Amino acid sequence: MKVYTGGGDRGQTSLFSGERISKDDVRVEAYGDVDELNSLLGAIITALPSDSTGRLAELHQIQGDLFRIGACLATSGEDPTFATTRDLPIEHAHFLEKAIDQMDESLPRLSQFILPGGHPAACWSHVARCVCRRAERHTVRTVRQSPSDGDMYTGTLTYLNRLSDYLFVLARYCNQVTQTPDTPWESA
Amino acid sequence: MTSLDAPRGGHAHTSRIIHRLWLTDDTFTLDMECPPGFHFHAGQRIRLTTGGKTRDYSLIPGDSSTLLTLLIRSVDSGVVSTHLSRCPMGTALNFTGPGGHFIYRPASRPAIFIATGTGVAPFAAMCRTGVKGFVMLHGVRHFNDLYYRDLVEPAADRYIPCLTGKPPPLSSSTFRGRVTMYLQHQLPAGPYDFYLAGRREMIADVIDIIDRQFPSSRVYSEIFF
Repeated sequence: MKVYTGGGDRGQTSLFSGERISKDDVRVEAYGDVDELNSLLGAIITALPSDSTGRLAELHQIQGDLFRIGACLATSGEDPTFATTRDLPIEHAHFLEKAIDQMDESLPRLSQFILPGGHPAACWSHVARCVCRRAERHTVRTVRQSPSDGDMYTGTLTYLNRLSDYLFVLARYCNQVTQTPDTPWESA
Repeated sequence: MTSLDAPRGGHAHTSRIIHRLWLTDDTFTLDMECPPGFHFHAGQRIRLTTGGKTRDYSLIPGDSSTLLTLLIRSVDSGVVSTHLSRCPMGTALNFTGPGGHFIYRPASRPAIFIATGTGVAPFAAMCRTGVKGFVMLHGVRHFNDLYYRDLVEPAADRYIPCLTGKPPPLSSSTFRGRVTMYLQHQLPAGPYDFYLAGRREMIADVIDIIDRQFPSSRVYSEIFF
């Protein structure tokens, strides 16, 4: 099958549920952010320290979850058509919590803000964290714009909130395992 | 299948060719065994691999539950379609699927099915699984290219062949021109659920018309070469 249809050449796009909407609709912004976030996870994976097999499996799992979230966001509440477009079960957020706790156990306690940076995988993690927060903000706006869809995204909103925490901890983890010191923020 | 929980994934299957039926000089149906446990939704497709090349084909439920049917246009330069048009009965076929989300979604809006050429295949599949009450526009060059007319026309509220080639036998329901012309000049205004299957150019042109003339409609599409 060809990738392109040309059906979006005039600024409209089709949702998974068939509606034609403008490409600057907040819903498109939201699943566009999720797509961008997923690509950034690919960058993290490429830069991941070599002894991070467990993290690699986690990140692949998260990439799959983000595909599902994207499909869910591209479907209006009127069309609960496919299992793939249904909200992410809360267990997926619990998976992130376990991963956060596991990494956090080995990290020194934070007593001050740190500057985003360090090892390349940590840098990508910080960028991904920011995009994750943007995806979350646009998802919130999507829900506010379509209140009838609100219940569809409960799991998604929880997941995105937890994922940005995961990415923050992952950045610190990558710096730690590569012995790259975190840079504390020193207020002027 | 009627459930909306579409099977997903790219599971590998092997089947065998049972029967080939030429419909026109260049188009034929291919019946193949339905592998045990294989399920799909009408409108979904499989990905065939042969000679190192892959091609997607819509599945049509066969006359019996043990058969799957493909509608194939043989293209001179097409490695896969040429192989499928010539290989002996019993040839093994490797494919993955089913895949795709081009399935019928019942709604209060009238359904308009639009196909060009072999793009009628997913609609034939839908009709064979009980979908009815839609408007069907089938754009073809010649009258003989109206594949599956016998199956689709009885299920449709209106069946409108759109012919671009030489004049057909007299028929009050035949439209002379492209499906896009019919949409622009014949279809009453209103929101619809459009299902589009055919060449990329047709889909792009139809979507452009829908955006301008049929606001608040929904569009589902599947591209055929």
